[in-house]
Amino acid sequence: MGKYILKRLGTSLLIIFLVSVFSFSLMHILPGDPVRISLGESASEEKIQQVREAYNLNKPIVEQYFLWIKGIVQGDFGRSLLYEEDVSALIRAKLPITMSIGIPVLVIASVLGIVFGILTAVKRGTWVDQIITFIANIGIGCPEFWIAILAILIFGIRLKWLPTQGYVAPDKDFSKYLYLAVLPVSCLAFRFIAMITRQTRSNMLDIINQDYIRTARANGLAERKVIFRHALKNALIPVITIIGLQVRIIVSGSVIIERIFNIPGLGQLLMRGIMERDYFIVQACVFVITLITVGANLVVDILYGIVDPRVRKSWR
Amino acid sequence: MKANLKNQIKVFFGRGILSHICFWIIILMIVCAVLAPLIAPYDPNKNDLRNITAPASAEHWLGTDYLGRDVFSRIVYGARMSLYTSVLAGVVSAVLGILLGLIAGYFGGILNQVIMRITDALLAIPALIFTLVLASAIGGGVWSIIISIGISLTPTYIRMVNGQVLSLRESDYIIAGKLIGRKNLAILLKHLLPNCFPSLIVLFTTNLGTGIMQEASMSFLGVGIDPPTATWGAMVSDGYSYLRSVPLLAIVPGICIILVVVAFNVVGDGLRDALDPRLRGKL
Repeated sequence: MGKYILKRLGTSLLIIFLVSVFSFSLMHILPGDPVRISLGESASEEKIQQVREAYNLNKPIVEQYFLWIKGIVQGDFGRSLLYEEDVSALIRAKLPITMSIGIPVLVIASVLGIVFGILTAVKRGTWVDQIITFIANIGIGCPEFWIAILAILIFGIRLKWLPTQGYVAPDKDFSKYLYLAVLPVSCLAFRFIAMITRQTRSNMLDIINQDYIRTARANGLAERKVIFRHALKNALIPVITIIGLQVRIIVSGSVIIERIFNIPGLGQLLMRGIMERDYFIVQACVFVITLITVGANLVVDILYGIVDPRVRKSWR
Repeated sequence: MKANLKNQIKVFFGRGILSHICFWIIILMIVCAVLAPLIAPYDPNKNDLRNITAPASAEHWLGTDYLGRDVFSRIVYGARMSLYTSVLAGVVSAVLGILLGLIAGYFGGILNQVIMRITDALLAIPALIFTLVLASAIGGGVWSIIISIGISLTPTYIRMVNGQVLSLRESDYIIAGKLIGRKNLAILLKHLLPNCFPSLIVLFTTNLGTGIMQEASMSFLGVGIDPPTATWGAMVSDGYSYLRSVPLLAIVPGICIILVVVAFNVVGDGLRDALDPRLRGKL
């Protein structure tokens, strides 16, 4: 088991390294001088040289990369080009906001997705199954921005039940946070629930048809026991992986949800960096986001290895 | 062969009414995209400031937007843009992915390790964030969207082809081919690639849906295709500002996106059932 964890940790570090190279080189390999672009056409040559010096941009590219990595290890992502803000401080301020939306989404969507998945598999062919599966099929093709706009139209504008703009941190005013977060969290969770429902359903159906389930039924075991004690355990293992992978989708979706609901999180910061071509912000955001997704997958993989010995073996 | 095709068509449409509907949604979209100038009653970019946010009428079937542009015409041209970007992105990703997947799977060893680890790294970055950052770095425009979506979809092909090749590499007919002195390239292209075709067609179809969704999300956020070009994502984004007064402006293009993405997913599922009997009934 220790060896398995070590190997997974090694791969994760390798991936993080590759992503760091990728997000770093974006700014240097592609055409256009980031300093010139962000300072604008009117900037004087002298000012440009000054900025290049301040940001180590006149050093060899490999050295720049190592300086950047060295900074990150010390918790320093550099300063933003445009407003000279401390990027690490920006990230520290924005990340909890995005997490306070994303983590509830992950939990709620996983629970609901698994429940709906079991329900549809057990009630296969009935109207319950047909309705939920139909909604799930639509949900997968439904962009976050559209469902969010529809929700704003119905619950915000027409019914006036819920606020549609803004954010309050949960540690400041929890009830206000809940009130404001209901719509963004539900909209972000929608597609995620659909995906997990489909995945759980198809796994359950696969397993329900297997010999050992038939044997369990033939032995006269109660259906409830067959489903929960024997089928569910095996069906949920792949679902755990899917949940780990879908952390990516939540992060992607939060860029859109934050824009629509005006939540000042990491997604908004990334969009600002992209729009203003502030590469230090973009670099840092991509790096932090990848750190989160890779970390989530690492945790899931280790859990997976603990739960299912077959996985450990296949990972030699 | 002919009987086989007939059988495949039967399996595809035998999956129920949904397959029929989705098949025709895609046909309709392709027709709109190809014949956009003939179908659209107005120029999609022509402003008519005396006639802004007009309700649906005989002249403007879906009304007009905040610049007086005909919404129906913009929807039709939006279909063209969606299909154009997603098909080209699909081609980019398929070519890159098949090439790298074949090489990695067939030659194995270090080359396989390098390609697969880079694939893992690509997959670790959330797709939308990857495409947003790459497209803005390339510098905007339709091609930046096509290339960035193309690259973001490439890992799906690499993984699939690589997996297939790894499982086929040790099979008797490939070893026999090697023994009679066939060149590597010939084995790759003539024997390994055709075996991947059914899965490739399925993947290409579902990836079209993914591509359309990504393009829409990027257009919604305002990265990539520049206004006033009509794209469904940008139309939702524009309409959002007028949600209070004219909600349909944002809702209708969104419905188009959903219909098309769901249609490509369902048709992809149908194709998998039809082309690959081993996978029938899964998911």
